[in-house]
Amino acid sequence: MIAGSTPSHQAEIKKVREAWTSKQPPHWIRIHALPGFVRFPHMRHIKILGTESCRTCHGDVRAMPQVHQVATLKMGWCINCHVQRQVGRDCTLCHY
Amino acid sequence: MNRRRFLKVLGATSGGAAALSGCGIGPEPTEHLVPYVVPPEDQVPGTATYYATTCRECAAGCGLHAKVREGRVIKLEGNPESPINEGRLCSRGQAALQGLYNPDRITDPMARGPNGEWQKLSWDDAIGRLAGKVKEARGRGIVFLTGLEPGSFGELVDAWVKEVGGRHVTHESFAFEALREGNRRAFGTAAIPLYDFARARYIVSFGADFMETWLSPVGYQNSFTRAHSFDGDRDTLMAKFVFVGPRLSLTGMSADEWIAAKPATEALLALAMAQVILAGRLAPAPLDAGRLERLLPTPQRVAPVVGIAAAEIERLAREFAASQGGLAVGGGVATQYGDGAELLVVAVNILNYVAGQVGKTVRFGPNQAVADAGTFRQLTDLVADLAAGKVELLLVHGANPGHTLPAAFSQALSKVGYKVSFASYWDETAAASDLVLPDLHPLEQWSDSRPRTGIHALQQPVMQPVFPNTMHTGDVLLRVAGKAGTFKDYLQSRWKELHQRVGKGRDFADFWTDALQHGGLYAEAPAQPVRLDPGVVQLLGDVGGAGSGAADEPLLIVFPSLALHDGRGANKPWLQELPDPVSKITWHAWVEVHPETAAKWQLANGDILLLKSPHGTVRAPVWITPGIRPGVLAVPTGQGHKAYGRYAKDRSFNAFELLSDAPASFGGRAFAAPVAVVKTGDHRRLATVEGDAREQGRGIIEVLSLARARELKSGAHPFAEREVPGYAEDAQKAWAEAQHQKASLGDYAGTPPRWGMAIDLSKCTGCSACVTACYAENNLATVGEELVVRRRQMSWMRIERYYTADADGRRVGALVNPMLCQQCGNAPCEPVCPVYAAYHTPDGLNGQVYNRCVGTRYCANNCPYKVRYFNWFNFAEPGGEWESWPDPLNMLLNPDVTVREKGVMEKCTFCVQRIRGAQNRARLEDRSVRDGDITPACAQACPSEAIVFGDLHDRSSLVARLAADPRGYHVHSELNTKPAITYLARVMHGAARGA
Repeated sequence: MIAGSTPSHQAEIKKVREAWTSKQPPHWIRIHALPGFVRFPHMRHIKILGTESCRTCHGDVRAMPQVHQVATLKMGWCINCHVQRQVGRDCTLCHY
Repeated sequence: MNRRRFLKVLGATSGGAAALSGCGIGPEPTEHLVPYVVPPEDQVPGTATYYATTCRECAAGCGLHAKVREGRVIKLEGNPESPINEGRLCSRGQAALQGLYNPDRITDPMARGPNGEWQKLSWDDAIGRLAGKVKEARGRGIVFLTGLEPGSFGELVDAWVKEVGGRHVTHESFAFEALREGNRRAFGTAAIPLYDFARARYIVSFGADFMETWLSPVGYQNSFTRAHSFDGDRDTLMAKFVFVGPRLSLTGMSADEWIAAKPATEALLALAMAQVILAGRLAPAPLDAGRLERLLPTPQRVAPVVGIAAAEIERLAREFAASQGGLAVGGGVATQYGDGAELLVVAVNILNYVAGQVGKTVRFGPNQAVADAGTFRQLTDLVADLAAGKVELLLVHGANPGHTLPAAFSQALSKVGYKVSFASYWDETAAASDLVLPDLHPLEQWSDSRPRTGIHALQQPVMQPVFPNTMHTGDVLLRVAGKAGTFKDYLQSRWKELHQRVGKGRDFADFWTDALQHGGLYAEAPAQPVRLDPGVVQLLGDVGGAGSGAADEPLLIVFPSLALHDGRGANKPWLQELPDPVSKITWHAWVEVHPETAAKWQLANGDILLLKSPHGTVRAPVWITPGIRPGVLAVPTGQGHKAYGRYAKDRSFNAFELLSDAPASFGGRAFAAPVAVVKTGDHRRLATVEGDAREQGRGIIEVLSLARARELKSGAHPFAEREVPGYAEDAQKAWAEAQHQKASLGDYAGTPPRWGMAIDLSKCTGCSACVTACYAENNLATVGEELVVRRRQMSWMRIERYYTADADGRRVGALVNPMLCQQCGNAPCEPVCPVYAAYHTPDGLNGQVYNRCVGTRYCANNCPYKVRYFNWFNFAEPGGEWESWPDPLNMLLNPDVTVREKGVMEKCTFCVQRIRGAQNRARLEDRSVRDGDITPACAQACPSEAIVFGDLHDRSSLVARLAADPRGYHVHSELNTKPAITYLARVMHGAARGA
């Protein structure tokens, strides 16, 4: 979410607006990427953790001048959370 | 050297195991996310959308559901609402995807330049040229040759051709001319009725391969199974199936009895059966059938000609009549030996008629549209016109006579002024054209078809065209004619007329949307009563004198390939790599030889024979099989393309070259020819996936006689697990204790489901639709002919076929068994994996974690079922030597399944992605997974509904009930593997056959 109060915010908003008027999609750089052999069902995590839970993995994107990765997204990091919450950690939950 | 550096070096030097192992999640190259500016309303990223459309791979017209992810179609499934295929789909239908994404598609309009080279054109230019040629050729012979088009497109072509003063010829390689001619002579109508296998109690097929290419194979297989499967709870008896024909085809493999009558005498057998029924007053025959009685030949008379005992014929006739639900069908080579073959259909019609079954199991009214296809005679007439220079402009769409009529058509083509092709691929006919205007693939276009009276099936584009510079032929024709609007407008105008007739006052927009959602309109066609034509009496005089009709031997028969059809499937690697359900040979054609013949001629498998018919010569590798009559040789259609893309070109031989170019008496083609056979001394290794042709009493397939199966009480277990030998008792005890301990830990505690499967062998026919479904769902690589020869195919699901016979080698039959990972409860593969890539999941699967696997292959070595497959090469590497998905074939990859790399073991996991998907959905809806929520791809495709999947721990599930069925058994239960797949023994009429 871009608040729109500073010149740098304005510049970002302009990009989106131009994309809309020119019908040319902006090319975002992907920050959060998982390798091809991992499945991550967002809806299931949001269902359990609530709609405000984005920041659990993505950080407080609202407060970021530019989005950066806050969590490693490595398997150990995933598993830690699964262990803490006592939910499944079978390999084929994510790998198939 | 740290671990990662070590693995890097290892990867570079040995080129092997490190590819997917290690941490894997290294810094990835920068990826870009390109969002939709305006998101399409029916596409949600990560969620599949399904569109209903119609399959155009053959004339059957099955309903499709196309699964679309992120705007590209990734899988085709049957539309459960379609009365033709009831939600099921064959291999050919599923492989339509590989036609859509075929890397050899024609991407732009092309014209031949002055020196014969191909030049790209703009569409305006191309359409201008065509319009100019049409103008020039007006009155000098314009012919439009299409495939069978029973819908609006066909009507547009008719109208267009009429306007330019030309003629429209339709061509289907398998147009069932004898069936139409036989029906005309027996019943006075050339229509093709609906054969109601589901209501039949005794089925005799005279050569009709109704599970392969005959009329509507998916629908007929489905309804056949309803009649012919064993269900202990049912009061009625399981129908008996007798197959008559010189070759044990896939259809024949399901038979309780195979009768290899002498070729071209099948009609006599049918007539003698009718005689027995009439003479013995065994069935309530219609009154007008009585006068046939003394005209029909007796079993005693025909027995020596047909080559089976008179008593046998009488027995068949008595059983047929006593069942009170007899159904005889005639087709395949039995109706294509040559002149007079339509008499078989007349004879079969008489047999059904005297048994009182016409109107019951044979119903005119819901007639098959294929009866409207042009006959072979119409094609040869056209070829004669071409050769005589009477045609100035030839337009070809959806037909490839350059392959199916190779010599005559190619020669005649040179006499045609200008040839235009609307092909999507460089087939033989397109390659010989002057102008190519590539059509959209059927999955990209609007159209409709009426495959059967009462059924209006709609076709809608399920995605944007893969190659944007292709154009709907309907649009091209409208533009050439100077008409406004697109083909979609034309189609809708036709549907508005239909709406007027059957819309019942509904708004057209609603009517149209409704039809689109359901895949069309499905109505019951009213029955059309038929009577036996009195003219049949004269015909019988001819048949009576037949007997001399038996064909000379050695006789070569050409049979339609299940996978490749008339050759149209040959450019699709799934179909090339699909083992033929009978021969288990992939990627090339073969000639079937009986062991006695092979012994006489001293042949071995793979010896190359020169087959010389009066019409052509081919070189064919020998495959020796007991499933053919001695003295008969058989070759499949489909291979031997001179063009048609990288997968089809220059592969094996074209069986059509052996056939006569002249039509037989019934207007169709003779699919048999006398041959001279020459041994060349050359040899090749067959690209076969067959292990042993015999089951050797290994307990892989169990068979019960019907009488024995009916005696079984619930709770009985005739195939009880074999006793554990003493030395294994300790091991078993230790294992049970370990299991107990394991079941208290982590995810393994509590009551997770235990996924299981039941496969009913009384239903499975071996058609292999499940195999293609598995390729499509699980991103299985096609490895090509060379690697199949080296036994490195990747087919997670295979159909094993074993021949059976009596001790003296007679009464040959075949048994089939789908073999896939058994998801053993005590799996031999798991403990040998040094990296825990093969492990047991809490829900009972033998998981395989690809990114963990280091490729030791210990698991495959330790698997008694041989259902683990190793990636010897990188099949996904773009441009690589073994590339399996050259662009744009990679677009059909399922994004829910990892594409495996070189050095990784892979296997069936009961479509774990579907299991997890269903679990996720259930979780979102705050419920648990219900029985039937999860259907693996194989079970979903299966035309005979033989495969049932579910939770074995759920006592109320269907699979739990089937797993406890008295017919149930486990393959290799003596190894204490505790498989999750329960096979239900095949049930056969008569005594169970030995292996």
